[in-house]
Amino acid sequence: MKTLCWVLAAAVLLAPAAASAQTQTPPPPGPPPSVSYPTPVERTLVNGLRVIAVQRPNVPLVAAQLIVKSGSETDPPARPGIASLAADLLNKGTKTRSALEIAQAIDALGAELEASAGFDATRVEVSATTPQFGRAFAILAEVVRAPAFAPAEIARAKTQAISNLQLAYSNPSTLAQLVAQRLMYGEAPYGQPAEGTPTSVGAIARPDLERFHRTYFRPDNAVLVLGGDIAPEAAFAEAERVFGNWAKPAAPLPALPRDKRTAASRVVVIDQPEAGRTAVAVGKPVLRRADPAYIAGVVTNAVLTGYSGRLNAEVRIKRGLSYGASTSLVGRRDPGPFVAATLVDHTKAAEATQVVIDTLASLVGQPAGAEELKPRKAVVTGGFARSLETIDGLVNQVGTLALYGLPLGQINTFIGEAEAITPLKVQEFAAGYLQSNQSVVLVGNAKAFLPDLRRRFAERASRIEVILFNRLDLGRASLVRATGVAGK
Amino acid sequence: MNLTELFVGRFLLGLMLAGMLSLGAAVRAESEAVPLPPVQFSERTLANGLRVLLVEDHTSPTVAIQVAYHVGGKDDPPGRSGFAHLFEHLMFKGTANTKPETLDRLTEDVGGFNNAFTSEDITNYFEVVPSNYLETLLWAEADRLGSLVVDETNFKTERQVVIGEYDQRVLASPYGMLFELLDSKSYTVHPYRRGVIGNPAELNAATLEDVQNFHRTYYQPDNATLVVVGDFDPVQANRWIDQYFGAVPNNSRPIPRVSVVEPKQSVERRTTYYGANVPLPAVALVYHGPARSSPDRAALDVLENVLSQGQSARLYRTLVYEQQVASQVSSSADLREQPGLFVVYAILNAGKKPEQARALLDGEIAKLQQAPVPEAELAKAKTQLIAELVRGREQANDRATELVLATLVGGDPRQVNTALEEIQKLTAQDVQRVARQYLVPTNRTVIDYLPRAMPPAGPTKKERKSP
Repeated sequence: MKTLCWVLAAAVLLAPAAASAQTQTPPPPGPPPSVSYPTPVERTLVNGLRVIAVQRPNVPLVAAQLIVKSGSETDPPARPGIASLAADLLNKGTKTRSALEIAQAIDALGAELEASAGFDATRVEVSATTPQFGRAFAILAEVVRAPAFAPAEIARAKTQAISNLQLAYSNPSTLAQLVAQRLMYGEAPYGQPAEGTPTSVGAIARPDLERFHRTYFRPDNAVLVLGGDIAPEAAFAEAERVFGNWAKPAAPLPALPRDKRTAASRVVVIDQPEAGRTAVAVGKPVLRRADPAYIAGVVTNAVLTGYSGRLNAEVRIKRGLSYGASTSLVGRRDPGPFVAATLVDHTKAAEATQVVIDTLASLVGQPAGAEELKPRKAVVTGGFARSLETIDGLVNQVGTLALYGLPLGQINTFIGEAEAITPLKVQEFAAGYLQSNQSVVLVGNAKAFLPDLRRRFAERASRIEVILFNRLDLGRASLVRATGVAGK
Repeated sequence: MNLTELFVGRFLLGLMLAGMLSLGAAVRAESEAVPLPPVQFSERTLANGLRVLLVEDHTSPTVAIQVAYHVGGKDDPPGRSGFAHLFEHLMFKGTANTKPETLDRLTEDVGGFNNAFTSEDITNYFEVVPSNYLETLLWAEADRLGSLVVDETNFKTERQVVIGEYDQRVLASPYGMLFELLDSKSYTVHPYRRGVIGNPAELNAATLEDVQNFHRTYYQPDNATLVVVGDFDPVQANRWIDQYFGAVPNNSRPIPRVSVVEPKQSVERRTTYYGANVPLPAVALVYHGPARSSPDRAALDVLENVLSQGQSARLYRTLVYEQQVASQVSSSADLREQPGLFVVYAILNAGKKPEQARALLDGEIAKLQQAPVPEAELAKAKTQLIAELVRGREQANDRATELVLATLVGGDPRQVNTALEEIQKLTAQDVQRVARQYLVPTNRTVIDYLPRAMPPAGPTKKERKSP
């Protein structure tokens, strides 16, 4: 019955507005534009640093991104948050300059300098106008190679990180994503909270940060991308100038953490009675960024997400359960997560969970036809093109391809590959990757939806775990704080 | 080396390049100068008066489309503040040919986006889409220019939305009313004193006829400017523009223009406001400034930068970092089509007195008047302003906005190609001169913006009632 309703709703949604004799309709789009982004060229320095140059001289700006191919996945299980805190501290002082002096130098150059850690990598980037780039680039090299990790700055960054976590935990949607990550990956590195927990961040000490930096920040574990108004030869010369004497340590690189994702799925309720609404997240680990099926995954995700995507159509437009519902697919070195999420009134949480799961299943039972697929592919290709409009965006995309060992030419083939995804490919992807073993999390006022949840998911009712918010510990795969530990 | 000559030379060369069809190598006159190529735009006016500016650029397979109407808050009819802004909302409702929110579907569903803003002087609608949707969006923009449905239902629904926006932005936001006071306390007769968002009483008093009348007056081809920047063939684009926009008839009624001139201020004015939800006191110094088209614009931008851009700027260093009197400081050269404002304000730390902050702000302003800005500081300001200009050229939509503002608020689209030279040729004496000319007490209004709980020192002043 649900299925029938869906089909009717889709017919209403997707049928073109009936045009009367007087009214005009918008002219259709022309053929997709041909795309030609500059071809990246590369060279490896003697110390092992891979350097990629991508020239686009339309505006006098140059951007550089140094990617260290290690991030939060290297955090020890007992102390997550190290890579993230280290990234926060890179531009807060070096062996020769204070945090304030770095800020003043960057301001005087009209430049921008930022650092951040993800699971697979730490990225440090700088951009400046062409004449100022060389000096700004030297500051990037300085913060990458010789951060001070000064105790006063560490203390300040830890305070900031802990208040950010408290803010995050007070938001049911953010908390649901963090819990979903634990459910999907368990003890594996992707299960750990990248920003740590208040306890783990509090415990991080200077030697942890120095060890992370010493172990992974080395030329043979990094990729440097320079782009914008700079010729490849000049880019290589700049790389040689500031990174040429960056010594490669004799010790071999530690092996990457193994992918140990859990296979068992869980259904968890975090009981947060004071939450304004209930956040629902349904997810599972899907596939590697380098998997050939990834682009079919991106298109499948687009069929589900966005204002006119299937999930929002079901949750918001058709049922008015929520202001919005969306899905995401993240490409990583090891299989990254797919998550569908929404935020609803507590009393509607069980219904919303069921609608989310049914909508994922609908991609197999009522596959998207060519008409439905066309605008969703346009969302993918249009979004990709806009992401490359800026030099920062171009450098970032090239860096992502390099990080995951993909051909750099994909920057010019991606749009064609996305356009070539057929309805059958989307159906196969949904059937193969999105259906079974989903983990489910609800964060909200449990008593308002638990009976309904147990009734709707009767076959899994005995496995529904209910965890009180003040017993939650994201530092543990069990999610429950060890008994006998007092305080926060 | 004679710097003045060099800059004049670069300036002329820039203009010559702007007139050529293809752009050669960017000029690199000196090692430090940023080689910013001029924006190559074509310009024409259709028979119905629509002005069209096109910039062809195939860097990215996207296109930015903007339609700017030369009507803003200052043009609202007397007793009907907020009409220009109300129209921004109505333009997303249906037309004779489309359902409400069609623009959203035509942009978001194809991987693009759309939005709009209303200022004191203009109302600007914009979208960015993959370039093969250019014709679709030109049709949609022409359609809402020509056939917008202004009916009772749309009017009443959107009026409620706008009043909700007023409640949220002006009443609920702790410093929302401060930004209304900047205009309402410094202009005495010019309509800029009414602000843009209007007020619920005047919006509620409006009739559908008022609204339709406003629409017929200002939403006409000869009051609109179309700017397209991005990946398109100009011959084809011009054909579509003629086909869709050219078909919209122009209404011949004259467009009223604001001719009121704000008289020169001759004595300092002071005002105090007490608000219920103000967490910390704020003080503002509001000076009258020139119009955006003034040759003093670049020097005032430098003044703004030196005072408050980044943590190395003067106000931040003195009030926030050293004296810790303020938690936040800001200055802004808010220049407009007609003479605008130069605003300096500080939000204080708990327990600090407005007079302490005013004294420090006055001290910093006095320093700028007494001595020229040191060369290194001037160079930093120029570098930051030029970098900002360059970053604004990266995306098609930003370039389109720059052209719209130069054309309608600055009065000349060619300003986009003179801005760089104007910053480069500035001297420390220019900056000192504008500080002495504009930032004087007789030219300003001082606003103390205080928590209601804070006991007034002198005679009680009544709280300004929410309109």
